[in-house]
Amino acid sequence: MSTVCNRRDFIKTAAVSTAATAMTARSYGRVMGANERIRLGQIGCGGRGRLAHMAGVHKHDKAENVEYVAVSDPWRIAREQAAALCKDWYGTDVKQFSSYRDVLALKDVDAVLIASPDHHHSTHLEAAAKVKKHTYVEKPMARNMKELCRAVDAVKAANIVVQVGTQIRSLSTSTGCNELWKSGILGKASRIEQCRNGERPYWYHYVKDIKKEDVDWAEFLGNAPKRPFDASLISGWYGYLDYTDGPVANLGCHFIDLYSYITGSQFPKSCVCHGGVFTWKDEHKFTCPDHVEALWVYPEGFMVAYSSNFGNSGGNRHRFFCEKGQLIMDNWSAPTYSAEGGPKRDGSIRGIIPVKPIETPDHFLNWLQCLRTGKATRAPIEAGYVHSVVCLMAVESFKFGRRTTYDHAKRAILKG
Amino acid sequence: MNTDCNRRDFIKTAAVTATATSMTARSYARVMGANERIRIAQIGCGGRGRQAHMTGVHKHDKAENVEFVAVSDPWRFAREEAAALCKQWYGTDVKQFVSYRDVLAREDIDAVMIASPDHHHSLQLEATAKARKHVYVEKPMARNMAELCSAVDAVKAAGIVVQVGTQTRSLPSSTGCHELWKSGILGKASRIEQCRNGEKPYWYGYVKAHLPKSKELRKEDVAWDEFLMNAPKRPFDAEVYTGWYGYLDYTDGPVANLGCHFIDLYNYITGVQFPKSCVCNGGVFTWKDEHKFTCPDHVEALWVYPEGFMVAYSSNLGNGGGSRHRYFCEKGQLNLDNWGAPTYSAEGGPKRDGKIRGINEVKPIETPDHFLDWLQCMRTGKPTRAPIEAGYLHSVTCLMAVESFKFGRRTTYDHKTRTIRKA
Repeated sequence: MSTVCNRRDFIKTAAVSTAATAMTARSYGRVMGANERIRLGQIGCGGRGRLAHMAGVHKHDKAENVEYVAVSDPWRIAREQAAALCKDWYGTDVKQFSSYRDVLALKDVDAVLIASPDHHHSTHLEAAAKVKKHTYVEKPMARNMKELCRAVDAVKAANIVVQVGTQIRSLSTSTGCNELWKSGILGKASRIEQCRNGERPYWYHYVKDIKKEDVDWAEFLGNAPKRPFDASLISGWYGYLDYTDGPVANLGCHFIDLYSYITGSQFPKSCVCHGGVFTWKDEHKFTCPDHVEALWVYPEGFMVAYSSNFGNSGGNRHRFFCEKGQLIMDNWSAPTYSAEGGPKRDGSIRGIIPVKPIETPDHFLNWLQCLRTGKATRAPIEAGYVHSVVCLMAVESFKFGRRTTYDHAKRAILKG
Repeated sequence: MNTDCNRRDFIKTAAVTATATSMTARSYARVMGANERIRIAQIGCGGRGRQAHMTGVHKHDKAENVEFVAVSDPWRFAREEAAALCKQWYGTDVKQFVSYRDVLAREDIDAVMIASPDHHHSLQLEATAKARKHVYVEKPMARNMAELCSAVDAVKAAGIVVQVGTQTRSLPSSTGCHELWKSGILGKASRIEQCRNGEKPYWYGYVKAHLPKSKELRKEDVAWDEFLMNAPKRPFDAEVYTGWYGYLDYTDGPVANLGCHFIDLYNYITGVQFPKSCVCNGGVFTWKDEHKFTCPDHVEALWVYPEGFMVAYSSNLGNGGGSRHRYFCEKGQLNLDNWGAPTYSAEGGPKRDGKIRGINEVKPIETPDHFLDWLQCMRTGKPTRAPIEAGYLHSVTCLMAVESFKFGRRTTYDHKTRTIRKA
């Protein structure tokens, strides 16, 4: 069995098509007028929704003439907290809903930001596209090829302005790395690697007591398997494979998106993935692996490794190992490069050199600006498609114990 | 298809059976007498054979009353060099043979050392056991389960003294790490990892192009069929002969050839047995040229153990940076970046308990070197430092990766049927 999407007339490569969004046809998502106020709805009002999305947009709301007008979350406390922020910022009482459907039904919402649990992303994105609302959607963008393709096709059909929430590529240093890469000074990569370790899985941090009566449980479950209300599931969903695909998809997608952006690489040729729950077995019965590693081989001739060990926090690193040296992203906001280890180093790199940052609008600002200019966003839908395919190759390999490959003509992940 | 060995009455675990070799039954290989001179033959006289085996034994030959009496190698130059060493050391003219068979046929040889190319190891080990000669055999010990099991069964049946050439476990610091591990101060491991990188694949160091003129490999000097043995037939090729480390017809590449040292070392230090499962990926990425090497110049294998940890071995020969060797544990880390001078610390351990402060050197514990241990065991009949069970274990672990790499499947191992299976 392979996971396949049948629509074949998909973009031939996932490369950014830079002019695609500047259009005015009525069936398409509206490009916002220069002086028009942009009205936003927040879908998902947890920490990510409030502290990243809402606060991130709020920094620019006056300058960019935008305002939140609605929020939704299945948990009453979260949506009330989000509404309280709006009251504080705008003095208004925004509309509050438990379901994203009610936000999308509002005619006075131009665009939405999606920060729901992972298993909702593609569903919410597709629904937003169908009602032609521009979208900022959290990563990872999808959990299987079918939902991914449906969402991407809906976005392309509606031509809405989408920013995928892999915001690291909008760091000024990331733009700098992309330029450095294009200069060719490092030569061809042989290995790109991130080890992202910790003393404890990140999902422990989120578990809290949530009251049943405050939660629209069916709305939280969405398309996940039916099960009775459980506070640990809704607050600790990061730790359960029913709602997320674990560390490679949830955090590794930042790494994947970043090297995809920096190097311009597209789809891997093959992937294997391995791991398990080793160190953290307790009453929460978390199912996400607390130690996992994925290995992708790229047609250009290099391997990518992402590993995440939550049994010891040492050993973190993030490197691009190349013919003429290394790009060191251990701190991805202060990358450096050197000739270290490069078999074809040619004297053009001396010592350890900071990558020169290149001023770049932040990820939220870029989206807001693109809503008016119709220009391609920094992380367009194609970028989300690439990171999703890369993640899903690992997810399927982990699940089935098979090396996976990807066929772009069929938009299918195959088992080797 | 599973790689299966049918003999089921194999040792239930590969743990060292501490008394198995002290026996005198006539069908078994002889335990050497206290004053008896041990007569050794070298099978495979390349760099490893001459500079590691022969030189390593020579250090002890007077004290241990041992002597090389024969050498064999398909390449005339190599066996003559080996014979010249013996002439220099003992003043004798040792017998020289093209084939290991001629060495094994001799009654005046008590023990052999095997440093042939990887694809010969298990066959020569098995033949040696059948000839009831003690043996020091290079790693990796086998290239498939059928040959591995035949060799191991022959060794068990003959009761010979075997030292497997994973000599890193005989470093005093390795004994120290083993004791440190047993103390429990580091707690449970979650990840054991070695990244062994380089600017160029090691096989380039051996190819003909890099040999001095005096060592030119001429067709007429080589017994080509003796080299090929059970590998696919092909015409004489000096590049293939000298550069066999780079061709999958003769070796299984970096995970088996060098990774086996890493594997054997954590097996020894932690006492773990067989992995539950393995995946492996890689390819020839950086070094594509006229040599047409087939071994991956970048490869990584991941094993999951039933005790609940993952092991990673990676080898990127496209950049020399990033090498490291660590045991990531509950209460800290064992740092083997330099495996001759390991250290440990509480770094990163979620259950660190204040017992480890700062970075500590692992206390070395005096240990006979790997060759000396073998020589001594031939007289005492005691188990060697790296007995046949250790070789079986590193071989199974390597082969799980080799098969996963080849077939793109997660592999598992069933010890009852001595079978590697595909998910």
